[in-house]
Amino acid sequence: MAMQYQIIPKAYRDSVALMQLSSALTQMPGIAQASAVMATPNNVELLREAGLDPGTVSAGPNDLLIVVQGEEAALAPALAEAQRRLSSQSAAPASPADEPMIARSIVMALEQGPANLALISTPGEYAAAEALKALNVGLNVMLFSDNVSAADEVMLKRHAQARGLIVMGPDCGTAIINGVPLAFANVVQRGAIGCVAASGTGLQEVTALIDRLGQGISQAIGTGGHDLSVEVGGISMLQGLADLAVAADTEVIVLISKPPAPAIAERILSAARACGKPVVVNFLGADHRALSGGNIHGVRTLEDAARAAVALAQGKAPQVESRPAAQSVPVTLNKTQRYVRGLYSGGTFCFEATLLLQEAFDDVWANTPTGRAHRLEDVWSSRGHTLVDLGDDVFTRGRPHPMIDHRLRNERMVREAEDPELAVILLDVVLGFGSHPDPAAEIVPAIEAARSRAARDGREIAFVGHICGTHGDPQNLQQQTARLSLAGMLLTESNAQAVRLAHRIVAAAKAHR
Amino acid sequence: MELNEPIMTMAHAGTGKPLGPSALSRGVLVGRGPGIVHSVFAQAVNIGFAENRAVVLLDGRRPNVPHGIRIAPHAWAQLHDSVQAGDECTLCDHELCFPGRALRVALGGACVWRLDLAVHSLDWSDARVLMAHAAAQAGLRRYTDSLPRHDLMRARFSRRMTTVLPALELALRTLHAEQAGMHLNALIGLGCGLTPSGDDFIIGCLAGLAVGTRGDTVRAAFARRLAGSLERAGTTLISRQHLSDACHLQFAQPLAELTVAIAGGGCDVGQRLNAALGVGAYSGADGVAGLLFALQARRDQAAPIAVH
Amino acid sequence: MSTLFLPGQAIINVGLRSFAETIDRAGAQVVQLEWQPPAGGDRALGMQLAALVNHPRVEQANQRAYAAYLEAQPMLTGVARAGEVLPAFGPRMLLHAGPPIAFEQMCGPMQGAIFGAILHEGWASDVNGARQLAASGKVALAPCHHHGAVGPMAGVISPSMPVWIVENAANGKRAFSNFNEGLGKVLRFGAHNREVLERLRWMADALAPVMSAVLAKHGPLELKPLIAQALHMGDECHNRNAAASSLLLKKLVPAALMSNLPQSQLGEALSFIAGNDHFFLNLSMAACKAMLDAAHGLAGSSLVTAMARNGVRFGIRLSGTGDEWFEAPALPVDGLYFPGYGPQDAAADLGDSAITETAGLGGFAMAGSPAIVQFVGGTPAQAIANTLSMTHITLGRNHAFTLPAINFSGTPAGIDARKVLDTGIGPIINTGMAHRQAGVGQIGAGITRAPLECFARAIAALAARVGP
Repeated sequence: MAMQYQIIPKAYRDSVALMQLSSALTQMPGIAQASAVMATPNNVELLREAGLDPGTVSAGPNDLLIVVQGEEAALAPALAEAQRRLSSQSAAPASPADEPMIARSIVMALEQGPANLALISTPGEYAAAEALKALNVGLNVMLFSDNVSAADEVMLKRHAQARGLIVMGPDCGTAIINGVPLAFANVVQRGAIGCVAASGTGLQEVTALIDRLGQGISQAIGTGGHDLSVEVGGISMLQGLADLAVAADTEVIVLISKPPAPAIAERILSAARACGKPVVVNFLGADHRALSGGNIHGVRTLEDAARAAVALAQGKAPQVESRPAAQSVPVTLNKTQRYVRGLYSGGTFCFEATLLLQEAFDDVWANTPTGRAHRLEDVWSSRGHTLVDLGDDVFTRGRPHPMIDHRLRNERMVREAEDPELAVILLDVVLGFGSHPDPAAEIVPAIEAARSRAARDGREIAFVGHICGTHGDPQNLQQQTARLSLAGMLLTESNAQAVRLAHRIVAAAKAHR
Repeated sequence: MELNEPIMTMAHAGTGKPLGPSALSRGVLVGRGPGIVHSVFAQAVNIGFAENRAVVLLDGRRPNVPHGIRIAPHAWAQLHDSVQAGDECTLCDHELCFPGRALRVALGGACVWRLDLAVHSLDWSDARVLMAHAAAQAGLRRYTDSLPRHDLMRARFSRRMTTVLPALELALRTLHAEQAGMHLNALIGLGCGLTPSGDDFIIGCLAGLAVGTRGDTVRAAFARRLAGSLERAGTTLISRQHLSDACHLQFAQPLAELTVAIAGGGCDVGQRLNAALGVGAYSGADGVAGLLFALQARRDQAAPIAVH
Repeated sequence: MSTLFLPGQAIINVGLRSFAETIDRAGAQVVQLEWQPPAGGDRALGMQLAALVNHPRVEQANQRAYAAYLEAQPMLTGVARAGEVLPAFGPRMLLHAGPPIAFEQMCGPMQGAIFGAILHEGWASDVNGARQLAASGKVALAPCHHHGAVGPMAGVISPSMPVWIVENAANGKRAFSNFNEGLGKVLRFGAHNREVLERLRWMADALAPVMSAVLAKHGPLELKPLIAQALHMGDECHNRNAAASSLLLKKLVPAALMSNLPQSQLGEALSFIAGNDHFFLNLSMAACKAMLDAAHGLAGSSLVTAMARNGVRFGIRLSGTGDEWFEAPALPVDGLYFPGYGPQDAAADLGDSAITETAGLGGFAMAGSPAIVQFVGGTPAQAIANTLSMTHITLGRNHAFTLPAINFSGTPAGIDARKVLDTGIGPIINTGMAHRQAGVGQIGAGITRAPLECFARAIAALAARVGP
């Protein structure tokens, strides 16, 4: 069998065209094999190995080399055919017209098929307009964007209400609709519990705990943190509640919010009383016992909300208080170490911790205080028992959210470790879509750095926290747990338990003294 | 997963300027300066710059590459039709200008794309990572089995690979940068395609070596040293730039995302694999082969071996 | 119960791409938008636009306007002198293309055409005199559109020039256009030498009476079927009118032969038409004007009823905003130049001929005109893509004008200003390029787009009229 080649200087064809060329040549009569390659030194050498000596011609990596192998008489016509095809290919076809154009507006997207929801995460200044368009064409809206004015929120929600639609948000970080996680959400089983929450991390914690307790979520609706204000009047929570009340797959309903204005709370509760299904209500910081009665089950913490919902879904009476964490604490504190420092990425966790910790201590400070807690004047340094919401605007300006970027918290951990009064560092670790792909990889080195900083002064620190996540989350809950435990972090089932454990450690050290 | 993904802004907001093509995103390794259009393809326009650097303009339907600028699809046809090989252009931070064609591509609103493989940890003790790797290997095998086998150079290339791979595997496993560099250099410019198969394989290899090296100084240094030893002059201008990206440990989006999916043990490996295999004619498969090969070598590093 | 829990529905993701990936992974359908801040990032205008989306009053008005456009039945009924038939045409008045513009601001070709028209009317005896007269302001200047007419390129119409009368049989209203002079040195590109003036004179004195007599013999000529047929023969009836001109000639010849006109006169007229592949353009434009005028004036409608350029500014009108023009600087044309010319020689976009795109022809029907594709630089595949992309900014398709290349579906027609602003897809226009100096003529052809700024202004005005 004979072989022949031809060099075509500076001929650029994309790989697909080259492949088609060699394929076409191979199909010509008398041709056994063919190839169109770039004349790189290594390719030229390869040809030499194959018994062809292209050494007499000079060709460079940017020249095209066509080689054909087969019957002697067939070679020249094949090379001629190659030339012909290459010259006719020069007018390459442009983008194919049968491909639909990528949608550039909501109206245009609807031309592709029916939709029921628009998830909007544009910069806040444009978000209201996109939401209004979505509502005008009959779509429900999840508004992840923040920086939407209160006036726009009221306008959008009334607009939606008049059309039987719902606006989740603005600043709605999470939702799970028909099993589809939206924005920051955990991967949970489907089930009989429906949630409506004005708090993003609160909703993540409750849905994740329900999943880990073996039950599932029918729908999880976020309303945005401002929904239960007097101005907005809880329009979205009422709408969500009404939707869940008639949804066949929902047997138990959970409502989560910071305490609403009394008039709004009453409106929500009376709707809940009338909904015909058991409703677990967690108004963080409100007197939960006063809420209970009939089908309403008031609870104190996010964990209690999850436990109560799970019990109700199983047809049992809800347990009122969560079990205290019984853990041995392998940390020895010296007598200066008195304070808990909570460094939170989830706002609701920080809020819950602030509520729980002030039940035991007087000098609780926070950048977003509630109840008897004091406002931290300088959010960058701690005093007494300090709880910091690192997701607050002050910290996120110009940088990603702490659930994604751990640097700020890591630096703060090491700085806290310098403080001789520090006893416990309290953390939250949030898994799920949207969060950091491997939080343990970020946190473990920081724990080690903080520990060795304290060790220089002969101190130990307790690291306490909880992971908000499920076994279905992309980060691998089991592995995260293992790696954080191995690094010495004391992990509890929930945020509430973590706060209690932190309290117990400090109290035990005091009693010891 | 980036929350801080910049949102595109309209490049010519109400200024009355011509509604020229605008860029959607740009790779992190896109340089600047005067350049000349090298070649024009249906979905890509290559531009050569000084020192054998290249920038590729891509139809926005195509994924990112580190030296690429993606153009809004509605404007692609206009751009594609306006420029020809040999056209002069200037690239600066805010626009790409073709003075001879009175054409400007606004870069103002383009977000910078980068995916840093070093920060994505690779943990072979996680069964899901092993399974993801195995699934990708099986998928690649199915795909390569389906490719046509008539190509002379491709057959030669495969044969050459069978002699290089065992030695390369040993060098990678034992972190012998000099040996590994020698074997990789024997693959540069080798095989079919505008980016020859050997180059694609090398690039895949480097992706497999780069992933999860943050904090692992030994492996990070190995990947860097290996990258530094590549003799890039032996291949086409276009392939050279892909190699150069890889030497900066930056990779095209489909390959990088597949790498992250495998390292994360994610359930989306199949989808990512298909995307990565779909690049070019053989390029995708060659790159994936390199990636899985390097990952295999790293997996086997766990097992004790005799080092010479 | 709300529609939130409806199964099998897609989610439209506006913003962060990673969210779409999550949804996709979960196995649900997601449509990711290639989103840019609409309305050029003007927040207030963006809200006004949003409020108009699917607004019941706008939808209703658009439906009626679009129906009127579709129902229009433009008929060529006759020929007359402009001064005798154009509404409110003053004795010392000249009409021009595009939105209103003062003489001093006009581009070279339009000023040149003004001189030519003044000389043609005999209001001055030489070019200097014509320039002084034009500059003195003693000649009234007005857009053709204000007087029911349209004219290609400079679009200059003077009282003694003959115009085509096109009547919409559906509402009895009339639209007008001047006669096409052919290519080369012609008034519409600003030429005004003796050759041009002599041709104008001949057209008024010889061609017009012949056309008038022939049409009288033939009776009213339906233009839509003729356009539809030409679309199937490779015209888009803006930049290519070869087929339509031939079809017109085919209609006219028997009537011409049966008229009692002397053969020499007939022969001269018919060979002039036969020698001009663009002869039909002005009829195409007048037909489009008649169709769109039928849709004009419906309160609340966002339908674009005119797009026109005066060589300096591009202007549009909406059905729902009366006679107001919304203007922006005219954009340069992107296309191929005749040998010896380049972008530095071209005048900005010029002429009323974008009325054809407004009515769903020209650039909107490019898929049916492979020949034009090469002329303006491009491939047949792009031409199809261009036509299809226009479906995203139009109210519907005009099934009177079908295109074989897109499976005989209708051309996208009825530009909705809201959609243009929301998607940022500018209406595409096939056009010729005039030399920036008067009288040099056409130097190329290409594609341009209507500036988005016009649509931004139009939407702001519409929003103010419609209210919340």
